[in-house]
Amino acid sequence: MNLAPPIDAAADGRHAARRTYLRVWAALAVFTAVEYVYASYFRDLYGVLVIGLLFWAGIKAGLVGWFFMHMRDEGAWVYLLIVPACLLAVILVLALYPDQAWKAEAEENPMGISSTRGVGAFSVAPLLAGVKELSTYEFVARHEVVSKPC
Amino acid sequence: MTTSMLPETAPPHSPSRRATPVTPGKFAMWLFLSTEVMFFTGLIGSYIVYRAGSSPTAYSNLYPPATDLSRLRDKVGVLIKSAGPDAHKVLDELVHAGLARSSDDAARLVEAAPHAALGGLTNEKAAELAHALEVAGATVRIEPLKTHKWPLPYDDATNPLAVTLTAFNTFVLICSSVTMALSLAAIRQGRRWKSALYLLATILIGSLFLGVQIFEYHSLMFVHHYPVGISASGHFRPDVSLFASCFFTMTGFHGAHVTAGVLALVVILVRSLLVGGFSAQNHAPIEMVGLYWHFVDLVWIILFTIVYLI
Repeated sequence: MNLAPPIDAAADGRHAARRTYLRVWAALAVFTAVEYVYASYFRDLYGVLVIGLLFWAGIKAGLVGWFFMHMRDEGAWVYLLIVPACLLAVILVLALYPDQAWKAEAEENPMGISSTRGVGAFSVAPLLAGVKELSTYEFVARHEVVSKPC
Repeated sequence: MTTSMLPETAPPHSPSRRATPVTPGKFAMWLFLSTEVMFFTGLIGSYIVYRAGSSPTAYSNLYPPATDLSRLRDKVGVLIKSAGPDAHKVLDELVHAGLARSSDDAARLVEAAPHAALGGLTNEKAAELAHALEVAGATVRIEPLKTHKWPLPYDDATNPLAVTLTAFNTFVLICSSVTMALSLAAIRQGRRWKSALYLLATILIGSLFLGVQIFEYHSLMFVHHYPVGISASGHFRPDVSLFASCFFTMTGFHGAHVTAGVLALVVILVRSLLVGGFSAQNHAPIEMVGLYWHFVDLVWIILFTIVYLI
């Protein structure tokens, strides 16, 4: 029967932790490079750009929190502190976003004249369509279409 | 709180994966970090809301940010891509055409080439000017008005931010995070000198991040002369547009956090070098500063994506 203290097991655990840190570092470096290339490649596809980059950023932030900040080793109390703050953060933005977005959409009238705040609906269509950002106009081209004789 | 406040003696990453003990210091640090989450949400959330509410014509390739374009929509511009071999002739043409008050004025305009834009021209006037500039040796193009709700990444006519440099700086900060984690791992094994070396590396790499950020600020605010679509004055400073003020506020506050982190790391490093400094059983300050440092890294990952890439 082996009564020796489990020194090797503890040492293995520490080496494993070191290896994990280095692997996480490598993953973060690779994901940063992926983000850089992705942003350049999909620069004209706004929806794909936003969704993809937020995905990569979320993965990277998760790796830092989970491994470097040792959230995987902490008890529920850490999540009780952080999760409500994050939820409130999201709610704060969502609460303020529609008012500003409605205002901007109401103004998206290339021929003319700004209309009142609050008209229109919050739309994620530009985001999901994966097309070039709809708020970009080329006025000359637009003007030519509008001024064709009926 | 029912959780017991035990001294931190358990080995890290024990095979059983029990939650590590919670100490008052660690609890306080996480509480502080949750307030920091709210702080940076205020900044990032304001940025998102401002961006969503920005006018679709707030930024353009031919006029300074927030210019009223209602009377300029039928006008076009001339883009000077290069002044050519004899820049003085081009400058004289610009003064002659009434687009610059003096040669110095004209020189500042042309400095923004290949995105030097001269807007507010009728089609006929633009054609005349383009011809005159070409005769003077410049490479030019007649440009229609293009507007954006917000400066797009890689659009040199409206966005001055250097994505490649900042991607490198993001990598730098990630490197500092791993040296910080390795410092904590070393002191948990009782390796004081190794831990101190990793702390020193974290300080140096963190300082490199700050140095690159200062270089970026200096370039944006004082060195480069940007196209009119970025700034009426040619420099990118906090007062030139909503985008600029958001950019400097967010990255500036983050930079202040990194600075505070570097200073805290210096204090910790000095303490670790003193006799009776940290040990395998007593290293809570390294863990606390490490948490803060990783959090600052995490915030930068989000800022880099939202401000520079999207």
